[in-house]
Amino acid sequence: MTADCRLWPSRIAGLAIFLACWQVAGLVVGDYWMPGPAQVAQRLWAELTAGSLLRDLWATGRLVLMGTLGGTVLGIGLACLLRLLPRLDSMLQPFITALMSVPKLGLVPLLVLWFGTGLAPQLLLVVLTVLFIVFAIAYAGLITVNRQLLMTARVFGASALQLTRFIVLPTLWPFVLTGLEVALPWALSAALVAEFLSAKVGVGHAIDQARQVRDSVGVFYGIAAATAIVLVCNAALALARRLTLKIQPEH
Amino acid sequence: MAIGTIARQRDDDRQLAGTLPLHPPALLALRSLGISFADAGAPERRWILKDIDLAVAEGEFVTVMGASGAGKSTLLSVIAQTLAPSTGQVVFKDQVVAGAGHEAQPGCHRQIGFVTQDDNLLPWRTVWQNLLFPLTLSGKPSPAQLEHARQLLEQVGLAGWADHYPHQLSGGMRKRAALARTLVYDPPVVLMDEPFGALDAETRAQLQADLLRLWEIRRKTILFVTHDINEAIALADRVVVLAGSPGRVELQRRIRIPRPRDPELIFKAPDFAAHYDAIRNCLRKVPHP
Amino acid sequence: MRHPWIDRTLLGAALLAAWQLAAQTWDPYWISSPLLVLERGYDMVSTGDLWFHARFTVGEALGGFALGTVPACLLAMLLRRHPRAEAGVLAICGLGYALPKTALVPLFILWLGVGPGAKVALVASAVFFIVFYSTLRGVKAVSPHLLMTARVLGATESQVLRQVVWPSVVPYVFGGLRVALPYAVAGAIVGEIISSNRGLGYLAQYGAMDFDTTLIFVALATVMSLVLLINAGVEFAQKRLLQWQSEPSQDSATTIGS
Repeated sequence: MTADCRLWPSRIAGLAIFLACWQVAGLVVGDYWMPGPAQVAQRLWAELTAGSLLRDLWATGRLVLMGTLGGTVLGIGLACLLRLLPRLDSMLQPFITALMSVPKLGLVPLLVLWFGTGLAPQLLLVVLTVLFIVFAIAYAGLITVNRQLLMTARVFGASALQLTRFIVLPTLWPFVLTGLEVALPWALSAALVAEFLSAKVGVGHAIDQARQVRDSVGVFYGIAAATAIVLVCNAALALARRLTLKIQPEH
Repeated sequence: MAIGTIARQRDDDRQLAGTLPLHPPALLALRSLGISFADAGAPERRWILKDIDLAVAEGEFVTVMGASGAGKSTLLSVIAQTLAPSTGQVVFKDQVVAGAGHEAQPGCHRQIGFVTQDDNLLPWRTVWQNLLFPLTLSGKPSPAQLEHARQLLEQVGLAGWADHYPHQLSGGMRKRAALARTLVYDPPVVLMDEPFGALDAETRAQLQADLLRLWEIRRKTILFVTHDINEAIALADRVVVLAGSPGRVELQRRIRIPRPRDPELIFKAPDFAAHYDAIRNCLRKVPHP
Repeated sequence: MRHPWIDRTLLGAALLAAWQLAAQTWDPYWISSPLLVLERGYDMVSTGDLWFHARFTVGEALGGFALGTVPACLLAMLLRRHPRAEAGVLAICGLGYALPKTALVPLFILWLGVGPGAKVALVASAVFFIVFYSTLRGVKAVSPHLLMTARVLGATESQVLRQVVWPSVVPYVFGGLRVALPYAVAGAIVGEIISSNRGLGYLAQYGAMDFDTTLIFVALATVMSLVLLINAGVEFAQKRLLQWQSEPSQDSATTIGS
């Protein structure tokens, strides 16, 4: 712990140096190519007071949240289903590997073709992206469910639903948290790409708009906003992890 | 041995052999029980246990012994109904609860408790929540049940630990919590599969004494599997030895050492040596499966 | 139990048959059909069209891969004995890792135009962080005994890095490469979808604009095959080069497809 505390000044120094280099590079290369951190901060403030920052954050954030929720539920469900039916599991293995080899972001054209522009293809993309990630982690996590615990609960008269609720899901929870931590940046990436191509609001849309009119400050502003979303979500997940995993199962 | 003891031993043997009716009548009976598994690739099924006939009276403490692999744990699983027998029947209170062709229905009557070697407490719940777990499965626990649970917690000596998590308890304490949890829904039969096996000698002795003390308060019917002959003799009214491959009941021996017993000093009892030799010879003479 | 591949083949055949049937009963316009896809695929392979575009995608992926991997390895190894610099770098990289790389696509297009440059940059930026963290883990896991021995024998830092650290780190680098692989291809594809006129992602996007579902499926199938191939290739290379090593344990979080 103390060794960790000693490093904080270095961390802050690192970030400060980074900002300084950024500013210098901006001055050297020119405003168009690399607007400095001061300008970006200014734009952030302007957009915030104009209300458009919040509007964009809300649009993208909502998309990410809903898609992550859907993808997580489906991913866990699929993992449970395959673990319960080993024959089906074995049968589907190569198909799942194949599906995981397709970059989900590559599905955007197909989804846009089928569902047009609007929320549906964007949501579907995020759901699919999160689904496979959470599925893989939940699938691995289900092996760790303690069979002896299940047997003991069965002798107590637990039904299958009760077994799931009281033993399987709590065992799975740390894995779900890890899955969310991994999937979140992907979900946001997917949301951004979907917004590049077919949205009228959102951070992704803002970035692409700025690019089209060659507004480099705008592009940087959008990138900063996107990074902010990820940082907030990471913090939320870290908090959730600390609050819900106070007890240490012997895994 | 005195004439009286010889006569009593003969009676015991006849009772156990089934020629005299069991006193008191059997709560749990196994009739011609057999368990087999189909090995992948093997032409015939592999029989773990065959022709097990066993009758356990209400309130009787029976220990089951046998070499590793002799099928002791499998036997308990069948009685707990987590495993269906291949032949024969399990009869409980004169009703057939498990038999070949019957689907395994564990816990459907909540009449059986099962304590395993691993304490199997839910790591993400406190001791108190763990204790109430079997009750919460069938709805909200009534005030009477809550009171009963509180009493149990005291009786196992964990009164101040209700809000702790299992990982904060020692092995022996977790074992006691598991025991209390099993007793919380008052099952008439309690199965115990080498519950004290993973503990150090001192904790084990303590828990054996605690178990006997609990048993004196609430006379459950107990089937207790163990490797330890000392433990078997110290705790039991009757010792059953399974041996052979497939496993059969090779020896049944009634232990008439008076209670209350001190498990640590059981070797001082007068009949101890005879019991020990009989059991050990039985375990030794049959080759390992 | 039957051999699993029998079941799988049956399932695959059943799915393809159902797809074909659906296409013939309703409209192949929206969902295409296995036969159409095969036909078009064959066409494109024989005209060399498919390979023309695939070349770009593969080039961008591999180029970005190399561009990202080399600095990542170097940086991780150079930071070996400088914990404070490492802390500073990690703070910056934390931000960089959190930054969703696709947000950088418009920036790269702004800087480097519509050509392959932007895609390579995108792939490099994604791969860099993954390989950096992986290599760093490997650097920290080098056996201290080996290091001490080298120092006692009077090796300079660069000699230590080359002869002791690097061989120990290689499996971790490979681990990072395996994880980064789907990101690399995904990055190339995404870049092409957003703005390009070459590559498999471009083909998919073109198919979407042109309402040519078959083309999209051909492009996606090719991407899938590419990823599987490259994956197999890296696995093979790893096994050959590291025959004497056991793979460092990776938690399931690191072995995900995109």
